[in-house]
Amino acid sequence: MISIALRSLFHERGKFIAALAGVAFATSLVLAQTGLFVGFRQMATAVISRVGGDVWVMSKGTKLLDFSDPLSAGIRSTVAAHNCVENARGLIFGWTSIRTPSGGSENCQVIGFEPNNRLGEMPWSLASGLPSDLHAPMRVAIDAGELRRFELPDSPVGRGIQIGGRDAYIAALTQGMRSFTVVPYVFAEAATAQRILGWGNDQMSYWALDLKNRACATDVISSIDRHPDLQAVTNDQFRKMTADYWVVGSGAGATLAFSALLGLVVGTFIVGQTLYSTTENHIRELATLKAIGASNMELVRFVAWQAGFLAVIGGAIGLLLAMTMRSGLAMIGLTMSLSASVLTVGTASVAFMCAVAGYVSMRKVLNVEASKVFV
Amino acid sequence: MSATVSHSLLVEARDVAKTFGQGDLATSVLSGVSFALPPGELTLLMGPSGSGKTTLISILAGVMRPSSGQVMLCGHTITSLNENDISRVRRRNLGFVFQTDNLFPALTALDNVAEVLILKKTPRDQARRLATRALENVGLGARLHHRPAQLSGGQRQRVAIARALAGDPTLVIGDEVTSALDGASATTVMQLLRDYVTPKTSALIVTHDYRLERFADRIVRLEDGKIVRDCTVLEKCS
Repeated sequence: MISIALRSLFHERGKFIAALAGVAFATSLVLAQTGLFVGFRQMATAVISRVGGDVWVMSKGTKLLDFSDPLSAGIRSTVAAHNCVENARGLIFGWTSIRTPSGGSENCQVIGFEPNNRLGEMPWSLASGLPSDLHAPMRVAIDAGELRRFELPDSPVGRGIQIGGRDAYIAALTQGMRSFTVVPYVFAEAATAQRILGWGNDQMSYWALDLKNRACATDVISSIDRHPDLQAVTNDQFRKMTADYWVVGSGAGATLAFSALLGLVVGTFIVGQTLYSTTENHIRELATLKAIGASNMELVRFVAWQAGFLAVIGGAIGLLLAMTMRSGLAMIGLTMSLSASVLTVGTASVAFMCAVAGYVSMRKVLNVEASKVFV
Repeated sequence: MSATVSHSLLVEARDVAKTFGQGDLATSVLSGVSFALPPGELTLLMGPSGSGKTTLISILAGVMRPSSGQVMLCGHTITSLNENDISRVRRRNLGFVFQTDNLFPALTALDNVAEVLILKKTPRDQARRLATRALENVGLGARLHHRPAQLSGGQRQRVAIARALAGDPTLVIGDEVTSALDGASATTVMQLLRDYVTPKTSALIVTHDYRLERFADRIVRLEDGKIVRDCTVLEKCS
């Protein structure tokens, strides 16, 4: 039956190509939308993921990474007081502006960090320059993808730049660290960030705590939560809070989900129409097979093989399209994830689409009356 | 499967009736039809349009259930079997030839015949050998790899006959097999069916065409859902 099914499918070349295009289009759309959704979540929480830490401490009422009040100096000793805390790393997250060479102004988010004491490194990989290059005063790193925006040349290391009304120097370039809010990041060591933002020494936005044992996270969090001005959450919780705020709260998630659903519906209709018309066109031949003695299951296989073939080949083409899209989107600064979970969603969607599309045809086949061949 | 009823007959119908619809809309198509087909006969089932020929042949072939009566096919009482078991009886014992060839347009002549054999659980290599031989027997040895669209109407019908005969069925059932063919092609097709009939096999052909009577051993005439004449060529049928 596989031979009859597939050769019948190939025989009607126009319809076959249309069906393949339908599956490929729907697959790529589902993968792109799901990938963008996951990519947005990753982008929105990239700073938290890169900084790491088991528990994050912040001012009470903070809902997401991007907006928080500075914590007063001296909090370090409070958050590090628990005997399970191995290390407390401060993180500064503040808003200011950059003066461009042409005299314009661009908003930016300054991220100041304390190098991981254990590793002595910054939490971002550098495309150009060394982490030690940021040790000197007023040295900053910006992302290679933001150079045009700041009106900087391709090799800006060593150039002066005015940030928050203060003179700073570009010492390094990061790669792929771009903000979900589209406001560019400027990276610096904590002391430099405090000077740019006009904050006092030891004032931080967050404290990332490395624990000796993750099992004591709950105990550490409840002890910090007793402080009237502080709240503490796990790294996972904070990433979820931030991602939900931007991706779900902004409606971006719903928009992406709707587009993915639309792709699925369109693809299902195209594939369904093709499978149905192939079945309809072969109804007399199928009735003949039934009269000869083919069972209903054997006739169902006729549709199942066609639907399965379209799913596998169309899905593979859709994946290639999605990978091409990912490269294109990366060039304009959008992250489209094709992680295992995104691929699982894509595979399940294609399987669902072809199963639904094949269902109507299968019903048609099951209702074929062998006696029709005598009419 | 049901018990064997009669080993000497390939088909036996007893008091078969068929009514379509219910209540005031009920239409009786067959009533009180009894019919027996022994091996070794080419029987023509004739009659005017609407006489119930197609309904009767559908019931005898096990692709339609009668409203009442009993049908035995190749030793099985198919009126008391479920659909799957009837399918098995058809698969093992019957070959079909229809008014239109009903060939898969995407498959070559060879594959159209071989795939049906494969469906009947014949190993692929053997199926292709048998299909080749069947097509050679109907004079299409040089057209094995032609698709239906590349064959004439008569050639397509011969492929359909090869498909029906390749599995060595005990009974070949045909429905207006020559109606779409010219005189020469019709003669070729009927001769092929005639040649297939042996002391162990039979053919039951529905037709309007009186010119085919010369190929028949027996002619059964149906009118208004009843058999009105059943005679052999040794008798005077007309």
